[in-house]
Amino acid sequence: MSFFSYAAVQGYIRARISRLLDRPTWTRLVEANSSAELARLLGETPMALAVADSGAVRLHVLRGEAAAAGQALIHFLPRSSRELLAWYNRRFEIENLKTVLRAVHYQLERQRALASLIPLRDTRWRWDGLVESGSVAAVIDQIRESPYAAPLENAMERYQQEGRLFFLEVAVDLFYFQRLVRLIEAQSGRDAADARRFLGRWIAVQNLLWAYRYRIYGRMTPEEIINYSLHHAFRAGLETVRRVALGAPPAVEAGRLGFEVPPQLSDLEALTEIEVLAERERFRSASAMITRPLFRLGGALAYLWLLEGEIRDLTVIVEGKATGLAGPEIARRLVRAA
Amino acid sequence: MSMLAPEPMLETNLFVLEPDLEVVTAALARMEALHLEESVPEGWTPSPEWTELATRYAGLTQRFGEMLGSLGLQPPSGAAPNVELRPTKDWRELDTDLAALESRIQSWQQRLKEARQESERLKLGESQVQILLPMDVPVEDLRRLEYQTVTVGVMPAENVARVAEALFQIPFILIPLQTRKDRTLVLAASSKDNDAILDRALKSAFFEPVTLPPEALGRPAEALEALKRKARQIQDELTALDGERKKLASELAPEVTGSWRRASADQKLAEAIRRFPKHGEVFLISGWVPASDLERVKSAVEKAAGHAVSMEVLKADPNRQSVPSLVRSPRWLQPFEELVTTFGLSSYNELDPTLIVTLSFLIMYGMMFGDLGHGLLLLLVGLWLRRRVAFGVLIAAAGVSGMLFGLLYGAAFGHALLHAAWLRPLEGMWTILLTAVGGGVVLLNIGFVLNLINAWRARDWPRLFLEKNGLVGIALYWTLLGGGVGVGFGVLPKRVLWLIPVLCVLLWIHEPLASWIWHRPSASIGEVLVTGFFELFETVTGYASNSLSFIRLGAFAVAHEGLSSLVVSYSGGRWGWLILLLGTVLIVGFEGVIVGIQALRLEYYEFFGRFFQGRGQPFVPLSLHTGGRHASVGVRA
Repeated sequence: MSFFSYAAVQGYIRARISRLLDRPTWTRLVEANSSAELARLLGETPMALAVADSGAVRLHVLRGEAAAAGQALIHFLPRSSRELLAWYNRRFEIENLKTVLRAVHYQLERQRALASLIPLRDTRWRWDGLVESGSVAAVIDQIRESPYAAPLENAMERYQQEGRLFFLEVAVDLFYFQRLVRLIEAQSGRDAADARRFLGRWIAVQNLLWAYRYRIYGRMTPEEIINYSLHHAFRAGLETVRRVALGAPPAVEAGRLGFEVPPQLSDLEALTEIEVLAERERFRSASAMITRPLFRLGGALAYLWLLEGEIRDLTVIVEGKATGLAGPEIARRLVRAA
Repeated sequence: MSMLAPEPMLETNLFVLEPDLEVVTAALARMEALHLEESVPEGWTPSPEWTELATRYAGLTQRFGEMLGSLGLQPPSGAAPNVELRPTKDWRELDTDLAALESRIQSWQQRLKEARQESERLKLGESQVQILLPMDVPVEDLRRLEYQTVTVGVMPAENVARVAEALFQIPFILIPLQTRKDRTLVLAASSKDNDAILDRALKSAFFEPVTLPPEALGRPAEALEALKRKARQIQDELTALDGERKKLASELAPEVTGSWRRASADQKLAEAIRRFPKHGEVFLISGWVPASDLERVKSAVEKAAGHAVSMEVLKADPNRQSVPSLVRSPRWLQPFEELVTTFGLSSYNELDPTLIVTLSFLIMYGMMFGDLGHGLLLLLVGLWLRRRVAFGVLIAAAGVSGMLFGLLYGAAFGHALLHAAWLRPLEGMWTILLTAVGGGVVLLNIGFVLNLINAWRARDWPRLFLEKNGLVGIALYWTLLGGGVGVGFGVLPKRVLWLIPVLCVLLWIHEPLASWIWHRPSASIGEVLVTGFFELFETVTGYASNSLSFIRLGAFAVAHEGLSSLVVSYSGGRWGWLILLLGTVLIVGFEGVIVGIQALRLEYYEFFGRFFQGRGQPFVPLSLHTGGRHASVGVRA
């Protein structure tokens, strides 16, 4: 039966792939003279829905579209991999949940908070109700039936003691990624290989980056770094985190994952370099996969990554234009430049 | 038509002067005939003072609610108090009442709180000291450890192993003591000079420390006994406090309940008003009113205001607006509404299928569960349950249907006691299987017709003409089914079968065709053709599988008779009565549930899939009711 399911996935992706922007369009977007021209050019592409009447580019609308694409693919997938992709797609919901927690914690104005949410079509919560809850405890109370309530409640005492959202965010992130790892490990056959190759690799990079960020930005101690990171994260699990916590240079640990980071870079520069290399690798493996027959989980993941790659590059272009960066400078920062 | 269609709605805008606002809103809320809609015309803004009032009343309602809870009283449900509601003024009186009531229970509450905390602390202390029992040293010595740090506390169960990994740099002891609700009580220890590392590791694993109670003195066994003695004292104190609670509750119940109801009603009004946009002295109240209630609403509003109120009434345009659905079923049909609402609510444009679903569900249930005796038992169970659970009447009706089919099958408690008015399923197996499929075809076609009507009501021409449940789809279904059978039996000429590819192509390209004829937006042609192909494949196989799915009605009827006769055949001998009793309980209880699930499955998947989307937005009127379905203010975000 999985053959028919993947036939539907193949059909869906082949039909939608033409909506991805082609190289000449990217070139035009990069070379746009201003933010206004960028908006006008975008308005002529399938990304037109992200351009507001005011000319502003609403990137979160595109993230909502990516979430919807994930949701559509979930319906086509065979039962074995459906649960994995459904959980992977929950990252958008978690992102919104974090936005809500920030809005409530910092008492942001309602409209502003709502405007920053990713518009999710399949959602179980009334996001405006959550934004209006008044306190972090009330938000958790409203999502009591969800799987995120327990990890958030565990971190609540620490949040109340120190007034930092970090503890809530890290609790929900760890919960999400730990379950994702378990679901990847539950796959079998070719889907298992794809899940490890795409998602496993992504999780390993995320874990490495977290550990370095805790050490470099947060100046955390080894025991804190270990407690706030994943212990099972494929090629960057507990042993890697321990080495990072004890001071291993970023270039060395990145090298173990196959990224070539010049050793002379400072820790901060190295971290940025790893992020860019990882994004480019994601884009390359997704582009390579999408040209093959897609009768496997990797096809669905590759398509979703290409969508996210577009949003990531567009974010770079929008921010680059807003800060007055020159075209070649922007192009250098795109994942597709490699 | 009203039995099959949601109530017609009118978009109503009331322009209310500020002095009339409270009384008009209260009158509307008492009528429960207005579903509020958020509408903010340009230049109009909600009034911030009402947001403050709503917050004030939320606080008051919560505090009265907490007082009810601490006295062991339930917040009452039902209509609003029969007093004039003036949210701009009432809060002062409620504030005074609250202060007076709080002062009367304050001393008792304080003692109760302290006793509960004490009890909790002692329980935790007991579990900590329990783990020290094997150590034969005085507990106070552990507090004076010079070279060791010992701590006890709770943490998420999955973090215990993580902490152990995080402490890789130091020697440590970590003992999980007990786990409850995914939280583990642990004892952790390290040398004094490593206590900072231990503390950081535990904190970052969301560890919450608990401290040993000071009365735990002496060797662990003695300390435990002392704690237990103290716990018994506290328990006696709690019992006495509970007696005091009952006395206070009986004295204060009318006052606290009354104040809670008033604060709650004022809160609902303030919550609604805070969303009404204001321009100068005029507030705009927008919403949906059932057409049949419009005159009643108008006169109630004018009576409340004491003069004419400006009111704009517009016809609903369901293609442009999200119009709420209100289905008013006759009283006898209401117990069966849940058969449909469990799946979804009819949208404003959709016919409500409750009547058809009720009839078809009962027929399908009876067909699968036909036995006069088993049906009678189900009827009795349903009658017993009808005042306890919502679906009691449904069970009773299913029992009656089982009894009627029992007469048709001539079966009572698995015995062929009666003359079969129609057939016995085991003997007429083919007849009953074919009848089941035939019944399914009829039900599917009712679904097709309902879809045509729904599409017509929504003016959705592609759905009416071209889609899989529209005219093209129906033609394909009948060409496949009727044409196949007709040609097979030589009744119809073979050229009829040429219609099949033609209709398939029409169905495949229905989206670009609709885009071309009715200028509907469509995805790119490539995308549409690829997804259309898969949809066509699914549609054609779906026609066959949906129709054949009904064969289970016959199969379950046969299985029911077979299972019942098996029980009867083993019911001789000394313990035969027990086998008969257990077998009957199994059949009525277990099979009864399975048959119900099968009938629901056929309704939801095969029947509803043809015509019903159930995405209606419920009509939730502005109301002052507390509890039950009227609890919501009914303001849609």
